[in-house]
Amino acid sequence: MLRRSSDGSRFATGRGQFLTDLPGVAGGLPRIFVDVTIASARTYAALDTGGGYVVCDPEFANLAMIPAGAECVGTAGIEVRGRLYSGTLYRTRMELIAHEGSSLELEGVAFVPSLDAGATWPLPPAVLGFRGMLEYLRFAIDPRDESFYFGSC
Amino acid sequence: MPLPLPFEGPEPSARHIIAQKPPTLLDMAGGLASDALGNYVRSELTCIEFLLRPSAVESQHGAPHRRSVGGAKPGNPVQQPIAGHEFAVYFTWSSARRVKKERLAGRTVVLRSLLESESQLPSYPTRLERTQGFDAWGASHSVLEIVTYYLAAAFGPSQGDASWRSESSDEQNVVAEVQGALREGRFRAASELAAVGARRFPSSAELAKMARVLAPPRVLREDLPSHESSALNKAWFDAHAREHLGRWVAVKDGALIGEGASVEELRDRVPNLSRAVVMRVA
Repeated sequence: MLRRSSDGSRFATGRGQFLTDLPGVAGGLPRIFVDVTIASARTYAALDTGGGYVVCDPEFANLAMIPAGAECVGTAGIEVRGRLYSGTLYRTRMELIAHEGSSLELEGVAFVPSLDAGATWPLPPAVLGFRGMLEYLRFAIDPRDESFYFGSC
Repeated sequence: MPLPLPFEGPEPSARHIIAQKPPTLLDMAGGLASDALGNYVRSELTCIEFLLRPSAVESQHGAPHRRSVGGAKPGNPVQQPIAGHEFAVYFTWSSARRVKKERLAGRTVVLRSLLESESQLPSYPTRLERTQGFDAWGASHSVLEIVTYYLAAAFGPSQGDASWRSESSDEQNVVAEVQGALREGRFRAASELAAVGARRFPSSAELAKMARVLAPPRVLREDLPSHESSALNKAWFDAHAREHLGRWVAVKDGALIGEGASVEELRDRVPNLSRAVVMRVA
């Protein structure tokens, strides 16, 4: 059931299901992973209320064909666990996938870091940050049934 | 108004600081005025952040929902005319200890003592300590007066500084500002600088591209169908993910369709990954 605001309007247009406790992911830290498609690839993206934009593992970004099909601006920098990573910002499409209600398609900014040869990206394949992404949406979680509610605002 | 410029002499002046910033709403929000006053940062004290919005925007979209860098939610705004326009000025404050020190620079002002309530902030007498060769405003002006002064100096045609105008009239300077903001991870600043720059220099392909790429997210459709496979895939990950530690896996309609040590290996094994969830379990 999709939630409603106090004035009766619909709070969310879609409800997805989130995953937690994916083994080995995110250094064992509990995270919330939601079902998304970024450009042309589908994955579970971690929610990061302290982060910004959508941050993609370069391997995953290649699979999603982000660099091939999107306008970009470089060079940007983000700090991950005390280390500064440089990379490129791409304008790309993504979809928050609903299990109930409607899925939501939006266009936003994805950061793809440039890694040294042989280096591994320390974060999950995709991370949805608050700044520049989630802050422009309505969202809520219900841990009782692992629901992720979302909608435009 | 007019208030005297407090910073004169060979050291960086308020005019110089303002000269580094083109007139964007972001800088208004993030802190033209607070940049100028940010030299007074003292980490053990209180941080203040300004959020400035044109009143017309305010009446159309309502109060801002964003929180300050320190986590405080903006309170009630003070309506203030600046450079001939009405603005809603929000003040938020929080303990500096909650904010990384490097993020304080240019965004906050630190007062010597905590306030009893947020509503006191705009009229609070400034007790800014002299640092880095700057002369302080002293306690004779309120926070709101100082904010208003700097913003009027930056945006008002009669108070504008000639050097600022010549610098900001250069398209390449705006491009460099956007690039600098991106390198420093100030993404919101970069986005708004690019947007303003693209409007001011409509023939600039570089600024137009920056503005397009860095624009806030835009909802394209909210009526796309739901996916039945979502619950099936979740069930597979809940039950089987730990059996594939260190691997990239592809799961479709609740079944594993391939795995590999890398995305490349996975793609070699499963050329068609359409609609499959691809995840690294390590």
